[in-house]
Amino acid sequence: MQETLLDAKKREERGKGPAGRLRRDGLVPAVLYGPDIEGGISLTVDAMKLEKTLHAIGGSKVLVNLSVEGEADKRTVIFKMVRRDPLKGSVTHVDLYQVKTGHEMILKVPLHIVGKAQGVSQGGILDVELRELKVACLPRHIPQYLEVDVTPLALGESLHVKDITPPEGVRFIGDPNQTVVSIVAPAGLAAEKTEAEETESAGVEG
Amino acid sequence: MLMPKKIKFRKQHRGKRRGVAKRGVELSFGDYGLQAMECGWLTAREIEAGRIAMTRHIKRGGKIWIRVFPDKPVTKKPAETRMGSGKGAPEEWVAVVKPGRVLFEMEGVEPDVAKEAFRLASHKLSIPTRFIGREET
Repeated sequence: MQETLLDAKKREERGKGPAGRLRRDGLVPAVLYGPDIEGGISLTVDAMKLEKTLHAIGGSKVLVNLSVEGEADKRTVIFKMVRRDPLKGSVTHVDLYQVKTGHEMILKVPLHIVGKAQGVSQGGILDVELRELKVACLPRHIPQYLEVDVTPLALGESLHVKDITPPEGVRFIGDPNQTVVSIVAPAGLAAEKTEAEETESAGVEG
Repeated sequence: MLMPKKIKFRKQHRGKRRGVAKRGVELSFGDYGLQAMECGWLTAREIEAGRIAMTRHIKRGGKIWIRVFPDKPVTKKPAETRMGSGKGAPEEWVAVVKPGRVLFEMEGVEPDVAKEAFRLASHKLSIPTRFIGREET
């Protein structure tokens, strides 16, 4: 498991106005919460350093060592939510979740699609319906991402949550019959098939 | 063309378009998208023209999602009519779009094909847009 460092400062001011002032000063408001923290702690993080950290971990679920100014011990956290400005793309707020050793936690893990499906070679489209999967695990078992191999999928076939093997110590939450990936026929191909079927049936009738 | 099946009231106020979009600002279905950079009213005709332009370019491959729906009726008074005598008749349907809103999404095509398809579609729209892609993780 990869570990990353992040520095933060405690913040007293709350609300829209102070948050805007912080962003203009190159800082990002953040909040820290978890099973051991009551009510949450308001923090500020340097925007540049935060962007670098987020770029380094690239959307994966990684444990981050958070050092809060004035505290001797480092806290182990994960990025629970990252809010970005829809136009500028800059980070506007971060939710940090402090993990507790031996305490099972629920989080969403990104799915990585691996391989080229047989159906895609036949002219189908890879339709990714689920990009993140909800899992329950201990902090030491948090997977950075889950790999989904789509190579054996033919045209019209689907892969469901139950078809994915969870890593050791990880339990999937939610409907096991939920579709993750399916190979669908493109609109043109589907129309051609229907036309061909219609012609065949008409031929039989005639 | 897209329009509601049933409505409660035939005519609506024009409303305001200030601010940025809060919802529908991220890619939810596809790998590529077309994002609005300014606010405006997208008519059902523009949306349909954009959809046709994209579909023609990607031909058989790919899948398209339309993330906006024209659910606001716009009225218009007939030409050479004196002012007064009430509000005009419903003329067309529009979708109120704010900056940041994802208008179309696409999947199952190469990035350059998607980019070109969205460029063609953007020429049919009355607001400036930009191409967005999913961040590689």
